[in-house]
Amino acid sequence: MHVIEVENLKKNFLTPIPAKGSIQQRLKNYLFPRYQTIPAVNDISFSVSAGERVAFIGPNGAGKSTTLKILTGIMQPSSGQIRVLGKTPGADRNVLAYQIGAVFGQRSQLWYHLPVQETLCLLAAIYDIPQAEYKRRLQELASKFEITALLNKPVRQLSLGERMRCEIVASFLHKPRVLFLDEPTIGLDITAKAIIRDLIRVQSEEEGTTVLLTSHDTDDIEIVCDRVIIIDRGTLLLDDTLQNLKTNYIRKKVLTVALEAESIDWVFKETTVIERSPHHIKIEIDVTKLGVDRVVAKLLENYVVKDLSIEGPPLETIIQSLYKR
Amino acid sequence: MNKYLSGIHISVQQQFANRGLFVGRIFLYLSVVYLFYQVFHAVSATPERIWYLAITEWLILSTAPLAFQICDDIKSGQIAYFMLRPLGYLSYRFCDGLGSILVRFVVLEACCLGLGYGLTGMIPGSLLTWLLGSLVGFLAVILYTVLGMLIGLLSFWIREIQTVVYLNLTATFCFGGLIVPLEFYSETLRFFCFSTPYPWILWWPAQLLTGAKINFFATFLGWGTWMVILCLIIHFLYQKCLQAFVAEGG
Repeated sequence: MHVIEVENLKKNFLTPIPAKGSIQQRLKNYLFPRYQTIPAVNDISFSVSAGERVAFIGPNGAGKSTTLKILTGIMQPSSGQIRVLGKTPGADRNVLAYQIGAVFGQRSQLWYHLPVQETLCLLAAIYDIPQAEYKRRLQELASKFEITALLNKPVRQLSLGERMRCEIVASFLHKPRVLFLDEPTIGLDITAKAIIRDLIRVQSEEEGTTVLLTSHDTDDIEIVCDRVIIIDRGTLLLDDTLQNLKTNYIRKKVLTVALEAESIDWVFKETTVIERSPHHIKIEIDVTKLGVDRVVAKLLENYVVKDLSIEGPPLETIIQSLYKR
Repeated sequence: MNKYLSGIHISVQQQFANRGLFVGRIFLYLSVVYLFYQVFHAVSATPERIWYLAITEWLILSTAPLAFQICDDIKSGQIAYFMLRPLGYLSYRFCDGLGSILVRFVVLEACCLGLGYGLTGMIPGSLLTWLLGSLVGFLAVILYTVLGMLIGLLSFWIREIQTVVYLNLTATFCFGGLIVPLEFYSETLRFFCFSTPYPWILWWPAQLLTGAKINFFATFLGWGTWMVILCLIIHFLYQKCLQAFVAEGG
């Protein structure tokens, strides 16, 4: 069952045309500006099934935040069909709000001067959660996200990592069926990032929450998501599983070999030696032209190999190469 | 309804939690009134004039800064969080403002009574006058806050609202009779002032509390009319805003 369905979504923005020419023309343009239509999202279609965790990524200005805002009903599309949990986000925003949650990494939903618990209590009232249910839910989430000791602390005294854990608890409080995460780990240190990613993944797995995540951090994508949608300049570039992305879009692999012989005479022209020292060699293989198996077979046939490792490029490099296409 | 009451509750708590701002506001009120008292004292003002000043300052400083809050929400994109929730953004912001007003209004009324009595040695009117005057004062502050919401919404189009806020404050001083009561104005100017909402924000409650004879129901009708007009404009503007909404900040 699809919880998110997007068909031919378009969103255009009007931007003023910059003034050129004489002072009179510039003055005229200043007083009576003319506008041009810029497509922020240009005819994208995709769907997301219940419980899926999807990374929605792209370079800055690709249109991912705009799409997210349309999906949550904050912004109206210029054209296209959007259904979230069977409802139209813009028209049914208030009804849908009970079933969706969101975390915007660069913003806070917690009251700055008040203890975390006060905001959570307010959110319980906003989402019409009965008191008994709220207390049980808070206890469960606080223990899972390890924020019990933070509940009575004013938000201003929390570290960014602590605050973000509280933000995520706030978003999970009303058991949303769909959770939109906009750069939830931005600005966090490595440890805090790792904790947040694990918690999001585990929590969504346990409750079957559908997650749509945007992030520039590929580790967020690898740890939290199973599927990747890439958009650029408002157009869909790729929609595939994370595994397929890694398998189908890797063009180069690096082979590191420890040998008994001091050196080797390399013969494959489709490969490049990127590092060489006595008893050791590092080779880059263009897998579109030559299989790694052939290179390994050739090595084992001719040399005594003491150790061997094959590495693919990091996800970041794969995504970067897709952006460049 | 519970969600809006919780909004008021958390706003009241926020007022007390921000101790510096809380104490600062009391200090500001006392300083401003005492400063003007010294100026007025030099021209031998009557106790009623001192009370008028203390009351109008109390009302002005009791308002919630919703214009800037709404403007910040729009400019920072924070409004997105509110729009994702099952509650009306403006209703919620109004309740939030109501919580701030409740605390400021009660605390500054106590200061007004204490300082006014300390400076003049008398309290005008009866207990009933003060009960009625407090209610009217509260309604006046609400009207001013609603006007602030309208200004805040303008930031959907003009982004920076400082100039409009400044104009509004100046208009309040001039047309609301902050320092000089409207009786001192010429007939034409007074007519113009009463064509704006400002007299209902300051002049009406201050007149009532200083014991001047005014037609209570006629002025109450004026207040109600302005509330309806402002609420209708806000509703219309907000609907326009939602249609053309572009959340700022990525």
